Amino acid sequence: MSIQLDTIAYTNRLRHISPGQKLLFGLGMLAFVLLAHTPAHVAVFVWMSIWIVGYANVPVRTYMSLIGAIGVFLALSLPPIMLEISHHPPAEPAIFHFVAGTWYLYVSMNGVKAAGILLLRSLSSVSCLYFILLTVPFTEMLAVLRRIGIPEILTDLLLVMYRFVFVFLETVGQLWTAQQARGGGRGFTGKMRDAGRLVTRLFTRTLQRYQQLSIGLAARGFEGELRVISQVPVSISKRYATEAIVGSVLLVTFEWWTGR
Amino acid sequence: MKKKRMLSGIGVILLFALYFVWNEPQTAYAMHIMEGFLPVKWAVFWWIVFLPFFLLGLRSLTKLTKEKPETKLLLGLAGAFTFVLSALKIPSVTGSSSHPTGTGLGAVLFGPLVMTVLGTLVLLFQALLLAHGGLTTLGANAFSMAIVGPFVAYGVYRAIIPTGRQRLAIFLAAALADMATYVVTSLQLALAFPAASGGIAASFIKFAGIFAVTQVPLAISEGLLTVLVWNWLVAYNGQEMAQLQSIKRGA
Repeated sequence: MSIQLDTIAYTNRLRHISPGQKLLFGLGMLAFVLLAHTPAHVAVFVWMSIWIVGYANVPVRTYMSLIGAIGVFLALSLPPIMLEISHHPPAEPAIFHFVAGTWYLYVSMNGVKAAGILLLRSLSSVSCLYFILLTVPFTEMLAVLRRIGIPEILTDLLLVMYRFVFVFLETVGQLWTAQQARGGGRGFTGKMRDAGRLVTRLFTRTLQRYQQLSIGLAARGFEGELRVISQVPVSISKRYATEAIVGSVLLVTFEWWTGR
Repeated sequence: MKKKRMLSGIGVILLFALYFVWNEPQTAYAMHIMEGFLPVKWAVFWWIVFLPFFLLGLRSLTKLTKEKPETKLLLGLAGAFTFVLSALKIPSVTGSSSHPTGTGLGAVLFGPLVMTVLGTLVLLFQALLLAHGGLTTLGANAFSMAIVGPFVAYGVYRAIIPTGRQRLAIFLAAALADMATYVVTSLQLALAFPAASGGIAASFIKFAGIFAVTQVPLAISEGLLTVLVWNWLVAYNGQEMAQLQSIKRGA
């Protein structure tokens, strides 16, 4: 079983560029988005999409479906923010209001505007997050984390987790297929029982894996340190660094210009 | 006039019904605050609140792995197990399906401090592999799901166990952990987005009320599932459960 984002991270066209450079750029943009205003958000979103689709060569359709999924999720979390409930009739211009007993439910112009601003900020930060997820493979992120001095216990745990997440996802897939083939998942009680069995089996498999892994590593002289060879590309691309720096300077100027 | 009002009333109710029908599978991925959703001061604030707990958990794990190196592997595998558990679909009592958080089961199996670290790493994986949640909002999400959830679960479990009603203890631990997570997330959203009229309190009631529609059934389902899993584990996996004692006692 594969996770789409993970697959693209290993096959995109920016793969050969140093992960440090890509992470610095992605996280820098993310921090900028949090502090900037709406016009800059739109600009960042467009620019990041160019990086992802144009430079990293992620298929437009894939990128659109990824952004679309997030867009739907975000759009659905906006109504609770727009909706106002009060005992008094709305004091501000309302787009629509509705009276339930002594309560007034309404959506105000200001509320819609605030929700729109929030939607754009979130979409633009998601585009920065996607840039990182789609161009930096997890193992290279780990290598960067090790280099900047994140505690060894954390990077080791992440390494073991990353290795076994895929193994367990596959195991769950197989167990689920086996259950379906035997006519599982009928009705609520049946589904619940099958889900329970699945979790129990997965737990058993987890501990079996643990025993195999600890015996295997003990045989290789494991004493608490997981040493891995990391073949991380170190080439810093001048062309992309130039665009990143020039673009960032332009963006900050733009933000200063529009945000006054 | 009256007729028109009734019609608009029916319209609003239909709109709400449609919203919830559509919303349910979307928000089913527990309660994650998306990347960029929180204003910068709140994102920073929740990171600061979250970090001490995380570092405390990390310290106890470091001590544990120094004594017995192979616990590191067990913890990593337990983390992968929790991630895959949160990616499963379980039937909901409302008829649709949703994802469990796994915090209740994890807290009872591995202990709350261990679960604080594992839960945070699971959230990080969800952000980095599935783009659920985010990096700037990780502090807020981890506080509600990896700190409040496990500690509530463990507290409830320990409080009820002396009465000897183990099934009830497990059910309430898992269900109340989910409820606590959802209440804290509603509070986080209410603090960041106070209502124009009524402020934070009104906003909290609004968020909690709307999320209750999806989160309360989910909490009940997860509680039921956790009881089932627990029964089977106790019946058939005594040996494996005994292995876990090493990490549970140490932390």
